[in-house]
Amino acid sequence: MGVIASANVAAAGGSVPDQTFEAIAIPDARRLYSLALSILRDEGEAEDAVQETLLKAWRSWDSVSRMDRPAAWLTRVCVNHCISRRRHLRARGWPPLALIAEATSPNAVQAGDLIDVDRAYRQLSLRQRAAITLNYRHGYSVDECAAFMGCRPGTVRAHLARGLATLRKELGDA
Amino acid sequence: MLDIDPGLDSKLRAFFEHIEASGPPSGLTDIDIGAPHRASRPFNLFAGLAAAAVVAASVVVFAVELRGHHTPAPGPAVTSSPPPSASSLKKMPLLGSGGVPTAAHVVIPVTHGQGSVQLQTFVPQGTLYIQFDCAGPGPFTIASTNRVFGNDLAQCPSSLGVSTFVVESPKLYDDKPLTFEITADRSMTWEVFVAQSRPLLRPFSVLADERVLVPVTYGTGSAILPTFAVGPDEWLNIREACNSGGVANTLTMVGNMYFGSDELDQCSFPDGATGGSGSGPPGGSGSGPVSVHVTADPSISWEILITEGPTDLGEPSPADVGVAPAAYGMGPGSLPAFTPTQTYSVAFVCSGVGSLTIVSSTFTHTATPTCGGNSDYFTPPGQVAGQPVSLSVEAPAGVGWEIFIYQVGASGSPGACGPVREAGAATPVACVSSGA
Repeated sequence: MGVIASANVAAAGGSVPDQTFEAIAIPDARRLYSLALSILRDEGEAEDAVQETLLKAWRSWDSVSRMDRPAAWLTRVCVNHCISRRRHLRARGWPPLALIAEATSPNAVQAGDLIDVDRAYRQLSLRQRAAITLNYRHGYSVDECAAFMGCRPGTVRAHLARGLATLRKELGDA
Repeated sequence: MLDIDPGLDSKLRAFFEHIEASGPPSGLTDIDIGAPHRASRPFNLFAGLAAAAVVAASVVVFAVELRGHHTPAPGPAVTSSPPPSASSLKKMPLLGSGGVPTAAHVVIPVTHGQGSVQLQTFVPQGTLYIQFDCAGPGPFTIASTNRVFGNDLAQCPSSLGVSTFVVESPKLYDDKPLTFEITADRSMTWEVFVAQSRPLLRPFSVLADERVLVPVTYGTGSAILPTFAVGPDEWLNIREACNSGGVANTLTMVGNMYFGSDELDQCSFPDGATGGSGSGPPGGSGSGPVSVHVTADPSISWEILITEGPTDLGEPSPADVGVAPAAYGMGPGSLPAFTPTQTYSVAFVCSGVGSLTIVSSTFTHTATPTCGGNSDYFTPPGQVAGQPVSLSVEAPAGVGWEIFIYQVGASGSPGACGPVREAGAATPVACVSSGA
């Protein structure tokens, strides 16, 4: 939650917070990119998702800037962009280049673990990835995840359970 | 928060920390917004937003600009040409293929005129069709007064014919009343027709590695889809799209224990919404009968396709170069021959009961003992640059597969600078790792 909050920090000293697109949305690009990359596991796709999100925000900034939590709106739009991609990249068959590069690094044991986790993670559907990223990594409650993902809390729980079951099975942690 | 055992917890934490350590591309953090709201926009944000222009009889430049659109030319041009007559214009409206869909609603009926004029104001909904024809000397421009939409014609000869522009998401630009303004020589004769319709739901296509469980189905409001069953070790794939043209926003699908439920939001968006989801293999005995209930507001139009088959491998990384488009199939088959210039790898995914084996003259690789939606890659041994390679697939008739063969680029991808050697060379040559 701390990352989300950073986008809404008001100016110090009680001055009026800067609610411009440049002050709120663009500094949030890094967080949105990490979120999209966690779900999509593809740098180009993640960049596209964030661009689409920022574009949508820019078009509607008059109303978005008046929201209590513009960053939450940005999160919802970004997540929707990520999970509405048809089947895309859900089970890509080869490991990420950056992780492979690290397999030759001195810390190859950890790099090997990362590759295994990444390969298992890619077996998950985009919605399962989104649920795990939002709930496990970003600390959102199931209800908040449901709001971001546009589904019921029960659906989020199912995505979490199925996703974790797959990870345990693939990683031999069952 | 999730209750995760410590082993998986530490692995996941390291995994996410690794992802978050990679910063965004500079293009996302260095966006130059420039002047205040709506006065200007960064160009890269709009690369994908150009309106689709369908031109019935000629090529016309249609520009969607965000600032600095030219000022309409004042006053009529002086000309010695006789004023053209309205009879030189083509018959409008032009409906059907290449024109305005017959189901579209009229916003501005066919309007005849001469010279510059403002048309009636309207609030765009859904897809907008702007059709016009003109005859006479000088330039002709039809643009919105807020400069969101505009087109330029250098000249407007009568031979130009009827042009139809399609703006797929007019609401995205402003969601406010729109007024079109025609700027033309006072001796120029023109016709304009504007219509709109909710965005079309484009039909989903079925890949060769999929088996259709529920064919592409269109509907409105609530419905029950035909009952189906997912086969053993198959993945379930659902593709869905919706639009409402109004405030109704959500399409809900509920099935049995295996299917669970799925929701598609944003049906009220100007372009509607498209999504997809799926479920992993139901195990060795299949899913049992699944009956899906669709719940939606009567104003929501939807499209649903349900298949079983492997999930997508997805597009290659930028550094990877495919030797051919991804191949899809079911059961045994052959892949197009190719000639590698550097080390290549084979990525694959398959689903169904049975194994997938990829065979060439130099290797046999059994991809996986049982498919079940598994995906993986391998780098074949004994590669020789410049030597044609033919691969064939051995699999039971019911096993669907996707195979993508790619030459790995830089960044130390698997097999790069590996066993490739020039044909006939005794020792490996320097690896080409540019990815080009």
